[in-house]
Amino acid sequence: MTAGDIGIRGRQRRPSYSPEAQRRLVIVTFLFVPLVSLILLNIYPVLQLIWISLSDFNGINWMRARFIGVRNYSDLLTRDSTLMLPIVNSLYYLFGSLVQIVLATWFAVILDMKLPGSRIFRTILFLPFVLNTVAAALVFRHFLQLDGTLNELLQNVFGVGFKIPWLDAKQNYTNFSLAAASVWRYLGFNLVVTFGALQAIPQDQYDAARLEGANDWQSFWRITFPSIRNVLFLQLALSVVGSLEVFEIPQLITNGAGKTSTFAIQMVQTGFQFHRAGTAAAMAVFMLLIVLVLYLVTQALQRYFDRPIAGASDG
Amino acid sequence: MARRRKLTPLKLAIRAFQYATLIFASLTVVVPLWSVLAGSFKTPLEYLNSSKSSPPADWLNFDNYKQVLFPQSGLPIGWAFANTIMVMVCAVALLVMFGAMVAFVLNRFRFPGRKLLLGAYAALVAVPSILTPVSTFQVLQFLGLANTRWALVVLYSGADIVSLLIFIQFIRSISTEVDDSARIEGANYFQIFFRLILPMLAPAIATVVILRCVYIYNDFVLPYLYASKPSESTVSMMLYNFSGVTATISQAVIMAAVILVIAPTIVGFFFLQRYIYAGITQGSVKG
Repeated sequence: MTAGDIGIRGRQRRPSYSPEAQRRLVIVTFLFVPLVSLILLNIYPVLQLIWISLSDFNGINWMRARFIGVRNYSDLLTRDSTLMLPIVNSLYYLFGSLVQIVLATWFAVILDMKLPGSRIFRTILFLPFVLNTVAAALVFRHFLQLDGTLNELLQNVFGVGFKIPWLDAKQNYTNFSLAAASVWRYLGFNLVVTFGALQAIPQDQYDAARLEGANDWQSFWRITFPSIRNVLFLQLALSVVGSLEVFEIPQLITNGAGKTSTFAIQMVQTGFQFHRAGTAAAMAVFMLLIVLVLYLVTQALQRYFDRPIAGASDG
Repeated sequence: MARRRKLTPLKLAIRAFQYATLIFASLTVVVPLWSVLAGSFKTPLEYLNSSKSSPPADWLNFDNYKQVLFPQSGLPIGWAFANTIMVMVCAVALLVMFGAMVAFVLNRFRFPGRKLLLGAYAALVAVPSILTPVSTFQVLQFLGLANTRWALVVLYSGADIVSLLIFIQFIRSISTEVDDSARIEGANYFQIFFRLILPMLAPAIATVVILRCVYIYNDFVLPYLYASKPSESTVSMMLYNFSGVTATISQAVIMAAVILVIAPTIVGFFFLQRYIYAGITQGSVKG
């Protein structure tokens, strides 16, 4: 849809001043503020991040910042390598995201059958997603803490004789609890996305399959799955990136203490608490590069499947 | 076909299993929330001694709520609500205005740098705000906005690819003949945008407003990084600071604060859920 020709067609009319000048004026005035905001708040910070990562800036005093080349990067690989360690915890959240996508697909397929009560279930399952982040974390902490609701239920209903420290920051398994909190909170989002994709499948495809004698299982793999494959792939790609950037849930539930730290938590601490902005910036650049590589891999895979998913370009 | 309508024992078992999973998942949502709601009405002593999942002795015991609404010391939660609403109204108004303008220009005109601009907005998805705090903080400090509510207004009103795509999608569906006929009548592009396109965008604006309000109200990262002072706190930060001082406050009071914070969203959600689902589906299919 090339709407630019309005200007050309308009020229034949009786303009007060040249349509071309008017066109330029509207482009400039409409884009000015958004462009300033884009450059100042989005593009410049990334460039400055690269500059800070090459300095020993402490986050406060520019006067004392010196250019030190790639030392922050080489330190991260050697004597500061413990700062990078929390990146391993991303695997717990990645695992959680995979479970989340599978569960969301399962529930979306069930809800798509329009069984009685399915609207109520959708509302309930989506609810955690619209809760305030801090409130949701407190609800979950209240549920999982040592004398919390879950341990009490386990004791009363299943007769478990001891209390399980679900949120003990000294234990690695606590990351599973936190990943579960993440699933709890974001499941509804995947559910609604997948559900939307399911509803776009024409019903007559299922009718035709049924006439051919296909059962539910066959219909799912032959019709449903191919139709939502792209949406699932997109969710998967977002989960991989998302699990590398986990911040809120561990920060709010266990304060990111002990074994429950994540890369993002470590980075914010390094930059703001330990005043090592240079090191923190190097960590951020490192992560941005990983995300960029993942993004390119996603694009390549997408082209490999030959099905555009994220059509970011307009027409 | 008729065969399919009959419920064989196997089908019945499958159906039962499907419902069982739905009910189990729903319980994991409802039980923690119920437990918090019940706790918020318990006296501090009752909270310690009673079962976490039992109802309170008195559903009309609003003492915990009074402590949150009218605290002995510190700012009342109403202050945080006022801050949040201020940030939400300003940021969303700016975002809608500028988002619609950018979408209009990008869709209706071809000009040098257009592809680059679209690419820049798309690339932003790959740069999450949690990775750039060190440098973003410097920019905010330079603007004199660091550690104020205004930092949040500026950041929340900035580039957002999902809103932009929703606007572009919608403007694309408005025929350019609308513009053409208006131009014949002698309207200029500004009039076309403000008098014609913007009013027609109402459904898209509604979607963007709802999605952004939900996001801003619930967000923790940006307030934590750039507006953590109590006087500048949004509800997220207020609740965060509040939950940190467990030594002096009963857990039951914190539960009351949690309920106060989530109550408006839950009520809003029940009325607006249809729009939220539609917005998420639109935003994600394109973005």
